[in-house]
Amino acid sequence: MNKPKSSRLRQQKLQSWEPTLTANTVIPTIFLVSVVFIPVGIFLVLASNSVKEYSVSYDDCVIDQPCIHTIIINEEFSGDVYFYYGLKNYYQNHRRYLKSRNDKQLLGNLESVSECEPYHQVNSTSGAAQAIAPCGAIANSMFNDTFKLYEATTNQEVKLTYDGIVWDVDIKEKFKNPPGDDLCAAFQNTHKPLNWIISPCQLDRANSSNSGFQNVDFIVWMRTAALPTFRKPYRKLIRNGSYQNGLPAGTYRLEIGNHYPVKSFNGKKSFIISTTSWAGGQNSFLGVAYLFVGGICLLLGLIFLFIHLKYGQSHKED
Amino acid sequence: MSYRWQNIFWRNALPDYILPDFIRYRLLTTESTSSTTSASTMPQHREVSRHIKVNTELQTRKFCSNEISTCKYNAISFLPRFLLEQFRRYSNIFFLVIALLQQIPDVSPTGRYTTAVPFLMIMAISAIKEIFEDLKRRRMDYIVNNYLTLVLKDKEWKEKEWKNIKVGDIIKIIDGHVFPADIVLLTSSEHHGLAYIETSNLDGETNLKIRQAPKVSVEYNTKEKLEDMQAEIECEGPNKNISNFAGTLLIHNNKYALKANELLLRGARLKNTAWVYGAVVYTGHDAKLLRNSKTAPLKRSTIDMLTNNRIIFLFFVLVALALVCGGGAKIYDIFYLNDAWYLGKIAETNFAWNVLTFFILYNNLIPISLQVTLELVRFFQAGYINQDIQMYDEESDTAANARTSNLNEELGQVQYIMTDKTGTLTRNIMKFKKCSVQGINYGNDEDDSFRDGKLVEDFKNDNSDNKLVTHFLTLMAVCHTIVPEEKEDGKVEYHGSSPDESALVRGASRLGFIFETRAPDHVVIKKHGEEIKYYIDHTIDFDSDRKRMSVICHTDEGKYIVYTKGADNVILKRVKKDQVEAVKKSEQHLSDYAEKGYRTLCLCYRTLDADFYKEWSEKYSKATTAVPKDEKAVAELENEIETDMIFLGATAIEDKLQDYVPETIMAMKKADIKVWMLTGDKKETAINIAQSSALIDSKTQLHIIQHKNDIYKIKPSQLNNFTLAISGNVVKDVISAEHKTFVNDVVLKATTVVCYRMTPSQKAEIVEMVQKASNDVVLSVGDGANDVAMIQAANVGVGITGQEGLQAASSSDYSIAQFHFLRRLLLVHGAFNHDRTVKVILYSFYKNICLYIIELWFAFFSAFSGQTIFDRWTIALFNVVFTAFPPVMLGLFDRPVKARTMLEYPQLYRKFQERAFSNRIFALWIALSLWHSLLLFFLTYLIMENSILWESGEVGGWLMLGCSAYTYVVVTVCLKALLEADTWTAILLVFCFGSILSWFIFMIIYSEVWPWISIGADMKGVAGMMMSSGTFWAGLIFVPTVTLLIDFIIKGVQTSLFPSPRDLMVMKEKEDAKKKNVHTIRVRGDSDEYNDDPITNPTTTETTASERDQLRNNKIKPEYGSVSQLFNSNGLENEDRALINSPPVENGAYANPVMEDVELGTVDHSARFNKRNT
Repeated sequence: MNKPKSSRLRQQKLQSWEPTLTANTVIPTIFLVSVVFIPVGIFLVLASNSVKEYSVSYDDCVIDQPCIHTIIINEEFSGDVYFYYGLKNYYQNHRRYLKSRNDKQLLGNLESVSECEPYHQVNSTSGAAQAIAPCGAIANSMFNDTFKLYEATTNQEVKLTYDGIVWDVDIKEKFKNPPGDDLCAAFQNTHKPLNWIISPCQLDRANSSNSGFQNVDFIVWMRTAALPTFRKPYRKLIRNGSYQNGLPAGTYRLEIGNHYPVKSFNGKKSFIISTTSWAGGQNSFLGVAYLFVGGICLLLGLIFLFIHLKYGQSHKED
Repeated sequence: MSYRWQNIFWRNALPDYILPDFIRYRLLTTESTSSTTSASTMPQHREVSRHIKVNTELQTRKFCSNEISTCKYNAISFLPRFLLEQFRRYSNIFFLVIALLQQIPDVSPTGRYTTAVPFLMIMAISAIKEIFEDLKRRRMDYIVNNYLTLVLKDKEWKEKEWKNIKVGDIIKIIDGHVFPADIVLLTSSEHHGLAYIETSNLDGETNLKIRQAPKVSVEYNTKEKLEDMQAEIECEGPNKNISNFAGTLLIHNNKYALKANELLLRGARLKNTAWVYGAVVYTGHDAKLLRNSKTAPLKRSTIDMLTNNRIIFLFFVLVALALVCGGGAKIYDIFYLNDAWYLGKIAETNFAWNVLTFFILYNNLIPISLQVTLELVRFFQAGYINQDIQMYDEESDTAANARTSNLNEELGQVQYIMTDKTGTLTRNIMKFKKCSVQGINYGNDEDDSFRDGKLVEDFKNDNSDNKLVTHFLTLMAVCHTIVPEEKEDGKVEYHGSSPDESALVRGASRLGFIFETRAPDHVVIKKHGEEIKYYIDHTIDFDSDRKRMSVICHTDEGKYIVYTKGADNVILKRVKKDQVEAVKKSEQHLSDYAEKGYRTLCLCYRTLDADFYKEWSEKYSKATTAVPKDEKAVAELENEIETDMIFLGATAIEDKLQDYVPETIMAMKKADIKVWMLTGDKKETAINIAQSSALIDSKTQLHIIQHKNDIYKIKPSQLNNFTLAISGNVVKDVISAEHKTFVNDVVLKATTVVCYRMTPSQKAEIVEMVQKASNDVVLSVGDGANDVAMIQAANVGVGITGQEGLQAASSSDYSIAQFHFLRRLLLVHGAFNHDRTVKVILYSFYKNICLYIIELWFAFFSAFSGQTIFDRWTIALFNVVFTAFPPVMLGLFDRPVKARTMLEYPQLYRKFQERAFSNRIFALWIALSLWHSLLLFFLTYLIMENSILWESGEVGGWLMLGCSAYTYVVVTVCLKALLEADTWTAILLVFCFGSILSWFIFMIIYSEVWPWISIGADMKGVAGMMMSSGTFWAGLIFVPTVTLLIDFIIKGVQTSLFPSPRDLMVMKEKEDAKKKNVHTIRVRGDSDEYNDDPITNPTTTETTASERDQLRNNKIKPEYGSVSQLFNSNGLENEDRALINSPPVENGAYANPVMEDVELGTVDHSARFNKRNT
């Protein structure tokens, strides 16, 4: 028997629902969107508004000259306070730049320098090629401005820490120093990046565990930004003593070690102090957008409802 | 392999379909041969004749082996052949080039293998499919090649595999077995060396055919005698002509002229004969069966070609984009990155390299997976056709069969149907109904078959000199090629290739002229108890050129008589001029018969002088046995013997219409499909059938074009609602270039065209003419060998598996068992598949553009450096994993309206064509995908512009933005599939949300593999970070919702204010379902419960008269009648609304096609079309 089997699937009679977009479905959906969006929007706007941010641009500073900016905080920055540096017009996402690194090397395999060309090796005086560690254009152009914050009145330095400003996975799994107790010995057979003044093993002289590839500033720099205007975390406020609740209102003095040249390519630099909310830093866009779309939906819903009630002829009326 | 086993195998395990499968599958034609043995031994030049020494290994030359191979590939040839085939597609070449370009260091923005891997995956799927199909063929070949048969060797019958049979071998075939090669019948177990064979594998005809051994070899009926036989065969070289064979058998200097009648073809089966001995003449790929297997012409659907054009268009867009972006890179290099010291030496680029980079970056604008998606979708769509229980014919146990899946959507585009008449519109079950003898009509229209005692009376009282009534009845019983088969219960069954002949023989036997036996040289007729032998001297067969057949016979009395029957125009030309009166009356009868739609034949006879006959006979044998055959002389001799005939009369045979033919044709007309009838029959019969099958109604003007001059008589300007009837002999003129305007202005404007007296090639010419002139999709439907040409010429060929064998079906693209299944095939499957396929294609383009154009927006922020915003592997898997399934599901499970609605309102068919793949709609979708990609990128950008996205103050980076955007894209694209779907089924929902889930799962795993596997270093930890960001989740709700909300609102407004016919229908469906559960179909149980056809199963909408009135007055209005009138700028709309308000198709509504103006309730149930269910 060649008789086909009858089943819903074979006979194309699967249970189904036809989503016809008539008033009966469109209007409730639009209202539903506005009902969801408006509260979420309010929530997000509140979150964004709760974030305090202070940004100071220091493009007036001269390279390698001491540079001081005064920061006046009018209202207390309560909670955790983070410090960022910002760069503008800086294409960390340039294709050739972004791939000019070797993640294997960053795991401690110093000789892995492929992909880093031309920043992969130097010919030493003896003529032998020496691998650059860390290799590549990203490492070579590592940001090296330093910031120190003092209370203007007491001239006391505000204590900052680099703990917890980078991703956990980065510090734990992605960046590993080469084995050996003596870091500088481990880096001995490699060459520091051409633009660097100090060897990678000396990035943090105070704390060798913050040196080499595991240096927090280095890790921060190596997580490349998505856009040509970006911020990168610098430090976090240590919350003790008078900083228990955050950064109190007052006048602060910012000492900038200004080493990083950006003028040639029209770059801009800034220093940012910011608190966070559950949604992160200050960005009112999402909240406002939620409110805007929610509002539009409410309006549209009302208009449609009006049209529906005034002109709509439901089939039942026939 | 034991003989016993083989025996069982043969009888049970070799199903009839194996051999026709050879025909269907791409068999080895000489050019495409890749097979091992046969190819190498195949003669390169055309073999004109061959000389065979029987029963010896020593042949004059080497012949082809009997091993056959239908495989496309072998282990060595697989790769080159497969690749060759694949790279015939432009898109595959394109992706290969991309994959190669990616190997150039430092050019590819997405690494080296991100095109190669998905491309290989897709190629692997194709390769697996090919290997699977080829293995199936190989297994079949192996089985066939290893069948055993008996070969004479050293005076013994030895078992040998088929593949080892050689030309010249003498083999023995036993009852019920299949012939392993083309063999010349030497002798058989029956008297006179008779053998009965069944050739259904060759031509689909299940009737027995008779073959007879040459007189010179009949006596060699033992193996000893055979061993001593010194025989040689001289015959023509292998060819594909199944009905012709010419050669000479030479046994001990006795010559015998061999004809097709002595040749047993490979694939045929021995029946009712204990055994036969035969000499092998053509083996393996020389056998006529294999010579005849050819690949059907590869047809491509309109959509396929359009898609290809779109792809080419996108290719140029891609090139343009790459150039523009290359320019952008230059501008950035000069103005922005000039002194970017941090880039240092790496910033140096050149224009050409940049263009290449962008070319690779945007390559996915051309959807890599589209081909595979479409193949998959079409495969299953074909499955729906094969599995449709409403296209299954209980009586013949035949389901519909999609022989190709490439044309599924073409079924939804049909604008012309060219239908055959006999066996397609009509049942091809012939009944002898009436006859006219010597100007007197016998029989009536009312009886099912002939029942008029007067004829028998007149026969008994026939005292005229000529005994014309006797001759008339004798002719009916003698002049044919029927083989009687006595069944076990004593009843005689008549087997014949022509149902008309069977009808006449049955008619004669009911009138007392019983055809009893067919022996090789005579037939026995029992005339009212008296058995008379008629020695058949010659049978001149019927063919479509001669349009007549003759039998030359003599009785024991020695009188030679020629009996001829044939088409009236042929016969009347051949009768003596002295019978004016009788001929005139019969002509009147003939036209009466034709008007009733009967098939008519004229009968005549001639007595021959014995000497004249002998002389003619000699000349005739000489002409027929000449190698090669002297066709011209044969025709002349045949003509000579068939002149000066005495006219006997005419017969009328009724061929009833198939079920639901008028209903089907009316539905097609409503669907705006023009139905043309192309038939070999005469004008009157053709027009009559056209009328009764609702093609022509009495109100329309009918113009008949019988002569060339008629063409000029028709003034296009005066025409309005008219039909044409065109004769076969003016086809050449109509087609000719000079009448191009006539074709365009008149022929194509006719509501229907009936072409009569058509030869098979003329049918094909008409099809081609319409294709060329209208540029529309033409579907041909037919059932006989004479329809093969037109079926192959049409865009879509549909074969009816009916009475006339399988030839039409096996050369068709789709085969169905009943004409009325065409309605379902087109209106349901065609419309659905078209709608689905278009959706799949548009959606595939949409999702690719939507994702990959984001790279363009990102380029503005990445200095046109070619950096991707997404990780390379997530891009690569977009098409093959994360969004692979929603389009497939759309293609398989979407359904614009219920099948029943399609059938009730065939007008929707045309409306769905308008939803087609036009430039406008394609442009709309492109614009839509650009808009979506803009929204998706910039919303994500604005949300993540401040990269502090966590309460813990961390900062995201490149892939935080990229993966978020990617997630939003995947969600949007998957949900867009839901928005585009006309129906939501559980499976669609599962796959859409499952796709989204698959991305999350992939991302979580991918974020963890580094450094264990050295990929995805950049992705390390991204998933965890991303999913711990509240902003990401807030964006996940926001971005897709906003992106789709606009589509949603536009669609909603459109549905409410300017509803499409489809929207209105769905609203009506819902309304109806609410009113009463008319459309609910229970599952489980009888197949009838699946029947949602308003014509064959009207019970589900059984309505009373008052309900019907209500239904009619219950005009469905769109929701915003008054508003939409305010905005109504769309002229089409009123028409659409009229469609909805038109009464639905119902059973019986077309009962009388003459009452065209179908008003519900005023249906006239004409007796003639009372169907079994009314």
